[in-house]
Amino acid sequence: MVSMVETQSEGQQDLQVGEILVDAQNITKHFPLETGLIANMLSRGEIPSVKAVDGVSFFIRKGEVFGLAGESGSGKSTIARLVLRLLELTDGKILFNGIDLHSLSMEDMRHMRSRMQLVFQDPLASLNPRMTIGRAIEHPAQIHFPKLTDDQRKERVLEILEAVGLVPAGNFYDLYPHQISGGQRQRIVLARALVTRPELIVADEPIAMADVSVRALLLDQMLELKDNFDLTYLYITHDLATAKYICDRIGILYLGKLVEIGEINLLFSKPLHPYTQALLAAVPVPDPRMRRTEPLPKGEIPNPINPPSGCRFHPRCPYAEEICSKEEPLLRELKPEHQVACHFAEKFV
Amino acid sequence: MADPKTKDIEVSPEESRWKEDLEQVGFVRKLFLARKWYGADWWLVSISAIMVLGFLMMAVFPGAFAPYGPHELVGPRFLAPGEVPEIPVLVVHQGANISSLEDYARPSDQGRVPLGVLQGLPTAGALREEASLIDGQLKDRDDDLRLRPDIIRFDTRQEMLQAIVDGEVEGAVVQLQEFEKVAGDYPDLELAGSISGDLSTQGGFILGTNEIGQDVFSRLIWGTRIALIIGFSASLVALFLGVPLGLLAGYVGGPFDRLLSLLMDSLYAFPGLILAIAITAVLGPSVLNVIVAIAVLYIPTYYRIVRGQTLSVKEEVYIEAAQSIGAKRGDILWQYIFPNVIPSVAIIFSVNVADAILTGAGLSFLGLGLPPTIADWGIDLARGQRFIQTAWWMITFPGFAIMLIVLAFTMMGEGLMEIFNPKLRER
Amino acid sequence: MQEEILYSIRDLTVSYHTRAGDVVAVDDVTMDVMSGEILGLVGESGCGKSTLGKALLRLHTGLAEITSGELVFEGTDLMKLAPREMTNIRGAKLGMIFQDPMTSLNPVQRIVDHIKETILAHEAVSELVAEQRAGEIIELLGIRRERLDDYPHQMSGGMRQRVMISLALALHAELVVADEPTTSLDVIVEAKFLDLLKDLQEKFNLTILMITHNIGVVAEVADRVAVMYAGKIMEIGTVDEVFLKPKHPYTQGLLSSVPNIKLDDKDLYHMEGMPPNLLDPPKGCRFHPRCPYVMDKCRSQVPQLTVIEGRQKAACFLYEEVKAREVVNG
Repeated sequence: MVSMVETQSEGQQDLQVGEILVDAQNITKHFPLETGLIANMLSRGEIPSVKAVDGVSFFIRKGEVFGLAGESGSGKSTIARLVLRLLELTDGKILFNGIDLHSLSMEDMRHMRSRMQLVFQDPLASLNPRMTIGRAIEHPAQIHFPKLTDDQRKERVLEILEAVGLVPAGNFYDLYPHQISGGQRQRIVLARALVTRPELIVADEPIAMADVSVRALLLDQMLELKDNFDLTYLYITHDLATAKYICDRIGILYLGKLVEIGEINLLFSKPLHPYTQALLAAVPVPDPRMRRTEPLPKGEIPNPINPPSGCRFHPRCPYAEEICSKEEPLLRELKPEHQVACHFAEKFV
Repeated sequence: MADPKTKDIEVSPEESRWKEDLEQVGFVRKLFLARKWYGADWWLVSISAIMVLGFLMMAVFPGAFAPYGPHELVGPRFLAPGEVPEIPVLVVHQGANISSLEDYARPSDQGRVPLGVLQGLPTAGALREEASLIDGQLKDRDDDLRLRPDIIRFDTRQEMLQAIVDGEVEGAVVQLQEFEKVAGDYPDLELAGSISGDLSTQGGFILGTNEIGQDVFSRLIWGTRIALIIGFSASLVALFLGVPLGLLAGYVGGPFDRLLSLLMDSLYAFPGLILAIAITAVLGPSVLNVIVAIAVLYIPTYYRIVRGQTLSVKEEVYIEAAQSIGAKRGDILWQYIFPNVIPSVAIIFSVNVADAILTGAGLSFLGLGLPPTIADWGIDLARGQRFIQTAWWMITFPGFAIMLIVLAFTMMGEGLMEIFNPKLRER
Repeated sequence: MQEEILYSIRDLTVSYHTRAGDVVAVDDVTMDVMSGEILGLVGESGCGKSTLGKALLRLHTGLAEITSGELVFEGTDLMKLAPREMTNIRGAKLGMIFQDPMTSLNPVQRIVDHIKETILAHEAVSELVAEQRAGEIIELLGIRRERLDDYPHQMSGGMRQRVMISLALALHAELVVADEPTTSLDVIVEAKFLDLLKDLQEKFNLTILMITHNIGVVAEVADRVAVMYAGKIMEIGTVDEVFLKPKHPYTQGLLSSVPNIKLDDKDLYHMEGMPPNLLDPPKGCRFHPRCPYVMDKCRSQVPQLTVIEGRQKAACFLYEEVKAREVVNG
């Protein structure tokens, strides 16, 4: 068993469970649209952009599963990539164990990657079709632990394969991704993510493409791995039922803004933001006795290039009043550890 | 606990799935499995592969295929394919101990040797030519031997042959075939040797001879060598320059990419042959310069294909995955992008070789690039052009050879393209 | 809801002829679709539900072939119809909507033209009438009439799905086969779409076959549900019967493995194994390698769909025992 000491770089504090691992402060990401020269001149410098993430703040505690949920255009996948610095921030800060990620040099950031990994939605697409499983899992280890001998590295890979339940591990080593059955592919991706013993795993819809009958096993396995490997998860999803099962805390996103954030069971049983309420009501329940009775908000998700003024949900909100279109509500803590961005959230408490 | 049936290839009823599997399997195994799946295309590739192999054999071991050397003068000029050359032979009295014209050389004071020829045939000319040739050589020697035959004309063959028997002439020149017909009637006479040309060419030459008496077929075989050398070398040089540039441009992007693409597009837009002509004109004739000229022509082809592939592979999720594990940019380019881009290159290569051979032949047809000491189809085409009416075989067969080799490589490349990457449709 | 059978599927078998071998995607399926109901067809990927849906419209392309069975729609066996007659029915009485509306709609054609074309292809009416009808239908589906002039890319996903339905409705379809219609939609849009389907069912007595892998969607909207696995129907019954008293072990496993947002702290059931390889399916009951109640019989014999209780049928040998005991006990 290779020593865990290797995973710790100098000067890193050993975090206790419950302390803040990831601190996202007012993060913003705008994607500028490519327009012609003339259009640029005409718009007088104001380049239209997709405001994918706009001033979002949250923190993730060590050892927890923090969820980010939302529909399309909510910005959840963008945030996932900002946290891992696969995209550059337009504004704001992301602290990882106290380190400002986006101020690091590219080379330093590269070394940081051993401590934070991404699990993708489509496992087959995220594996290099021309690389064997063994090689794919080995590669992160090779990059971040160059002092390992070939044998040590291989041993580490086999260990990880066993840890994710792919046994006998040796069988998988020389196979190519397309030779692995669907249910096992996501585990390969997990194995690759775990080989450097990261602290944070960002999972972007990790079970969405797995067969329904296999999802439960995957979810429980992820929870087990979290305990065994001392992990923290940022879990991105649009499937609230799954989020409820696996997440401890959750943030609800709408059009690039966080509208509600808190402990998941409490939040789901008593949602304080009209959008959260609508979302929860809309989720299809596998029980015919619990069919939805609540009405749904009118309209559709607006274009993120030109989001509504004030509260972004106001055109669709059944409780909207004048102030909602003028003033953007900020996240306020209405209950312990439960924040809402709504001018009238009190009435739901 | 789930049982990992690891060797199961998951199949769903969707028809595209088996194609996906096929794509990922190793190259060689794919070739053999492919027959079951690809029917006609597989045959296309196999047949053309055999042809290519044949050409390669000819280029590496020309001696095994070609009866003569590339510059060897083997017989009369302008001999049609299969046409039996008229071989004038010397017929002498048995026991005369003569095996060739040279044996008639005698000291200048001994008089001239009487030799017979038939009236009105070119054999007289051949005899005279041969004799003066030998005489010229004898003059240079110290001894006093000379060959100056006294040429006596006869009206009929019988008279002439009878004259040898009677001793009126010491020998006579006859066509080999004619003599063989009547040899039985003159048991006292025997064949001494041929006046000019080789007795072994009795069967004629399969594809005829050219304007200076070289065997067209042999030159064809020998010409394979230079064609393939130029074709492969030029393509390889273009590949080794175009592929890395394409990879870099596609991956790095930005002004580097734009500048390079501008350059490449300009090169690409140029009519190929004209560019090659310009370069060889500047550099001068030599095999190396021809290779360089043609290579320059094809660098943009590889560049464009690889750049396009790189751009699309760059957007794949597994590239983002490679970034997320902290791989260096060089690693990503080399271990993740390159292996996924290479298959398309291998296929383009085959078609490219065909193209290069064609361009090379075109250059040498125009008289550019290759020194005339090399046997080359293009040069043969040029030489045959003047005699297209009278000696059509001089230009036809080299032309045919070019066509065949280009076809072989192109078919193989296209066939492989169909099998491995039907999405790719660029030249 | 009437008790009239609209579409009767009998002994339907559909095979794919791949070069790796024959894959039987739908294996001897017998099922009735009642007039005016929403019938859910659930199963995981590869179970054959999409193939079955397309077979109802005889829409198979490429390698798939209906090798046997009868498709009796309103009394006529569609298998016996000539291609021309089938074309008349398809699109008119039988409609279909797919998962990704973007690929089903012509990107260079306006919405109004899509609908008009569909109407004009089947009915001899004037263009003006067709255009008016298009406007009416669109509004019925909650889209403003002005949007008729839009191109597909100018509309959102949810709207495009509504356009797809409008194509079916334009010709007064009696049965619409919806293949994963909400899988690519956001949750709220999905909920609205399901409401729309229920609305159409009520207003027009529209019969809908809802094919999906999302059992929540089925529970929200369907009247009856059929559970499909490896090409066979494992269980069929009303939503109450199947969801609240599931009989087949696969259904039971599936229901217990899906999280329910309204329940707290439920442990999820792990189903063993994986969906089978249809090139070489398990002998006997297709589900037996993963079944917690597997008996010897299951490995060699194929259970038939038999009535268990009320309208509920399941294909499982467990209930033979039960039935046998019932008979013995009187």
